[in-house]
Amino acid sequence: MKTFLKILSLGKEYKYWMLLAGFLSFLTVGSGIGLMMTSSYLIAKAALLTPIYQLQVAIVGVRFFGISRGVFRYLERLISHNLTFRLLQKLRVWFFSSLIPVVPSKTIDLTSGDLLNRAIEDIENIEHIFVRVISPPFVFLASAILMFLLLLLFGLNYAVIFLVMYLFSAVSVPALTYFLSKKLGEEIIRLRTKLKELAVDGVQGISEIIFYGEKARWNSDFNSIHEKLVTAEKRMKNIQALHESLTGFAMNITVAVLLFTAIPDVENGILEGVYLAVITIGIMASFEAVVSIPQAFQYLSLTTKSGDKLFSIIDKQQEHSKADKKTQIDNYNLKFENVSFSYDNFREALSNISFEIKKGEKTAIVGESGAGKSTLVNLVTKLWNAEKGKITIGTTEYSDFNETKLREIISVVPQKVHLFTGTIKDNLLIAKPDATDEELSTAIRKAGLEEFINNLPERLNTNIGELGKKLSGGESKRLTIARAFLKDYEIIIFDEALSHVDSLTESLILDSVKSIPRSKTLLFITHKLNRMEMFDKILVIRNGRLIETGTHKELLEQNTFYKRLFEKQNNK
Amino acid sequence: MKPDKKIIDEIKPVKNKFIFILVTGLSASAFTLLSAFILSRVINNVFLNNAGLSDVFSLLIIFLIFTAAKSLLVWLQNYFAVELTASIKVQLRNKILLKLEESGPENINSERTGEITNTLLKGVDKLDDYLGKFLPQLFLSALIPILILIFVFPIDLLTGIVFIVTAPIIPLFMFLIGSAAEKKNKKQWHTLSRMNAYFFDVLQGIVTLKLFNRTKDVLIKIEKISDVFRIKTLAVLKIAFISSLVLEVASTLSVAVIAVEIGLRLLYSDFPFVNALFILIIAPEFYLPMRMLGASYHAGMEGVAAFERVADLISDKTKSEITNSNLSYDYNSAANKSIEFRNIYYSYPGSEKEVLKDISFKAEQNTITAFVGESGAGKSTVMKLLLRFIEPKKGKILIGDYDLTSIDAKSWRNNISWLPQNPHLFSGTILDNIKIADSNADFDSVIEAAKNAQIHNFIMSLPKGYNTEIGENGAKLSGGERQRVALARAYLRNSPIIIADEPTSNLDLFVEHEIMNDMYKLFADKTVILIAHRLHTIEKADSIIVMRNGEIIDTGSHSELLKRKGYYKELIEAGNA
Repeated sequence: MKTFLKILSLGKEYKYWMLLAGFLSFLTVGSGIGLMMTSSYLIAKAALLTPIYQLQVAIVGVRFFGISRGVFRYLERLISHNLTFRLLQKLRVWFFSSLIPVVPSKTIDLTSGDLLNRAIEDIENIEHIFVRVISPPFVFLASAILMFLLLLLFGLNYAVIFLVMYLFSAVSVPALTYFLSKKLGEEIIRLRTKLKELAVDGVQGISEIIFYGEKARWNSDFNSIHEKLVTAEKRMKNIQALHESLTGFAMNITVAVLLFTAIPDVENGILEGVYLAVITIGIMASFEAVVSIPQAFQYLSLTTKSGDKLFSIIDKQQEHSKADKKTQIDNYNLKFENVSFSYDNFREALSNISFEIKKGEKTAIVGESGAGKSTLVNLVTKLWNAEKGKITIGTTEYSDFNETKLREIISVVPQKVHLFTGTIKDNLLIAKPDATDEELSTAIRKAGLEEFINNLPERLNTNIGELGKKLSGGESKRLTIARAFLKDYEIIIFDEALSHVDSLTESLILDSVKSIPRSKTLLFITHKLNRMEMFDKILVIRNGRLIETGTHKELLEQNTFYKRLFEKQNNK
Repeated sequence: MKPDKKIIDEIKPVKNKFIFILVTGLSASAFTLLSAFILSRVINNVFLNNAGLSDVFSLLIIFLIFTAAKSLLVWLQNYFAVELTASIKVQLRNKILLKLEESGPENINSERTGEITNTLLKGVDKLDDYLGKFLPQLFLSALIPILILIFVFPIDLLTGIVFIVTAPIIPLFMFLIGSAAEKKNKKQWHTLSRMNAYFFDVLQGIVTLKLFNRTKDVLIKIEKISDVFRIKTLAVLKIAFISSLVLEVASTLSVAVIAVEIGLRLLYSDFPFVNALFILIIAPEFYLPMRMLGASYHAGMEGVAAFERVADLISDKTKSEITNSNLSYDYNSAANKSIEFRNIYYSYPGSEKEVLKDISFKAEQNTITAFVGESGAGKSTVMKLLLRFIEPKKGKILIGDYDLTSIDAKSWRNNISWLPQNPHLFSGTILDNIKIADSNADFDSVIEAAKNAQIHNFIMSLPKGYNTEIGENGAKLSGGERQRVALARAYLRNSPIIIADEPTSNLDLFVEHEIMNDMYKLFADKTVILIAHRLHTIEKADSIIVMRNGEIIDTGSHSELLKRKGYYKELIEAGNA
């Protein structure tokens, strides 16, 4: 319920549109009731050989309702779909804006399409919340009131009996199926997950399955889970099929109960016989509003489940302080004091790290994969907040920093290259939207991309998407380096800039690194120990701990872990 | 939107169920008519013939019985629809699995695995509404109106004519409007896929955008794109909604026309009220099946699209044929322990290109034979042949004195430990994942294998040790840890022959070195055939086979090959062997 209200609050600003669409939907049902009631009144009166002029009103009514129903339906469709798309838009913007603070995260893998597909699916489930979940009960209640008032014209007892039966039909059928299918729903979810795991194993791991002679076992595992799932799904659908069948039966029972009440009244002259047909047929028409109620319950649970999933992604939000107490930066010395960090309480990614990097110092951070280097980058860029310890720039603590302000002085070449669809220029301008042509070409030159870009058909305006795979790993990497150089910065970070590039690109990148002005601070994260003598300081990280510090020369002079790494790489 | 011929083929084996759907659907309608008939009689008798409750009591009971029968039949119709879809789904999934088995592991492109699992599960599920609702409704929307006409004609010719005249208008308009909307719809799909591509792009680039303080601009753009999408979609829907307008107006207006027409005849001729009431009650029922068809139109479209994907997968022609043979083989007890390729040729099914041309080499017992070459040179094809995932097109593979094709594949593989480049970890526990190499192994030998693979300590550090569930395809493990699990499998299997693909790019250089060292220990006293990428490994090989474009271009030891200053030297210097 909490989830439902949370979703609902997202659509708050459209409440008047919702009201209008709901009302139109009610008018559609109401016109149906009107059509059937006036029609039966017409023929009943005609059967009594009423003069035609007394029937004119009824004939006009029949014609009016016959046309109005279609028109109301059309308008309702138009407005409710417009509403649905506006909700969709709202949901998307909400989802993205809530997701942004949460990434990067170990639990959210953005590189696979999985998250996106799931999010799109869940958002699509939610976008129908108005048409499928909110509107039906509204229309139902409005129809109940309408019929109650109409039947009141003939007698309070009819109105009351109808209302009781009507409400009972709408509530009892979904309640019954809910009760019958509650455990089954969980079972189906469990079996689906299991079957998906098996399918993934069977497709991705098919070589291993065949090699180890496990094919028969896999087949029987898959088939037995599949069989269980199909059986459970069948039962579920058979239960859901009760909706249509029982709602129809409830309608006919309501009709019969009212007839049992009304017929003696006709006998005793309390009710005019003409109205017997009117009441009966009116009731039948009013059940149109009941039919969509069980579905609304189903969608309610689907919507809340999807909502829960989306919220669970987004609610992982760390507490990012929005505090902006002090953004005046007195100097650019970066300092870590006893910093620890863990992603998942599974293992500590960084433990008790302390170091200081003075303004303008060129520092390399070295270690094996999984040692904690990337975590360090995420902390320096405040993508994550340190759990223990203190990070400062000058005298300002990170927790006092506004993220935006901090990132104004930091530029990053990320480990995972991401280029956006669009031209090369578009991609560069992300770093500085108002960059001049001169600034652009300086950045490109520093990244060693001048020649490459000059050889492109449309140079900077070449579309990366159209280039497709023509852009090699090394070129993409250098493009992100150019992007990082274009940004104004005091501290620049290269995160594994040398991985997955050939030796030519490697030396081009190292040339770029060398060209960084003396006054700017550099953090060079790497596992490849190449031209390490260019750094003022090397920090060696292993299993989340800072184990060695020194210059390349100093570290090689002693029996250090660094020395072993260096020798290993050079095959000594 | 005619049903696909292939889908009819799928229904044929279970056509009885389909017929049951139609029969129950039709009978449900018949009971609707009967209960309407009774109801009109009850009202008529009370209204015009001064009948009391006691006079119509039995009729009312019959009415209730008929409506109960109708409800039961509606449920049964659904029941058979559920049965039908379930059997067809099982049928299709089995076909897909069989297809996968036939095409063999080497034909499943690793990039397509996600798509295949998706089609196997969700794709097949999407057929539910199409098979169970849309298709039967297609028939029922023709049959039920005919049934109603049979009832109506004897009672009132004029109403029957109104029905007959109005009925075709609905499908006609739906068709005209539907095809106009469909054209626009296709354009719309384009916008939609572009929009999704943009979202995807943004999602993957969030970190970059954050680092450059650019997230606000992107949110504005998402809002704009969504808005464009809304306006464009609504333009399409406006047309589509006209079809529901036409449906609605046609059916309600027909009811109105009939009501007025009957009312007038009640007045001016001696048309009986009881028939008038009956017709009024059933008039909406006449249009109902067509309206329901309209409602399930969308499900129908989706189902057709989903079925196309399934059909594509099933009709894929690639087939790998592994010769059936039943000679059981034990390398350890064999007299001649060499492994020899003699003039082997291979091309993948459906392709003319020869990926292996005239490959001949001999690997002696307890030696290391390393294959080097650029990617696409044919090295992995050699491994697949050895693993018997594929059979040579020409030439012979000799295991000692036996032709490999004469040996039972399973019995042959029992002699091999295999280290693939990207080992697959199965959902389940780590223990299960290691034990897959030897299901009879006891726990102590598993621990020993894990210790040899240097992963025991890591496993013990996990919350549940060896019983830790490792998630879908080992999601919780790093690349190095996964390699070590594969290594533990090989240690546990302890087979005399090792076929290995040296791990590369995904691993950190240091991690890789350590893993390779542990791999060498395993290689001792084994016949090893491997694809090598690193100088370290290559140097230790007894014999190096250099491949290029499907051919062996050089063979020898490291120093011999280097002296020749040919392609091999280039490869080594490019660090790309």
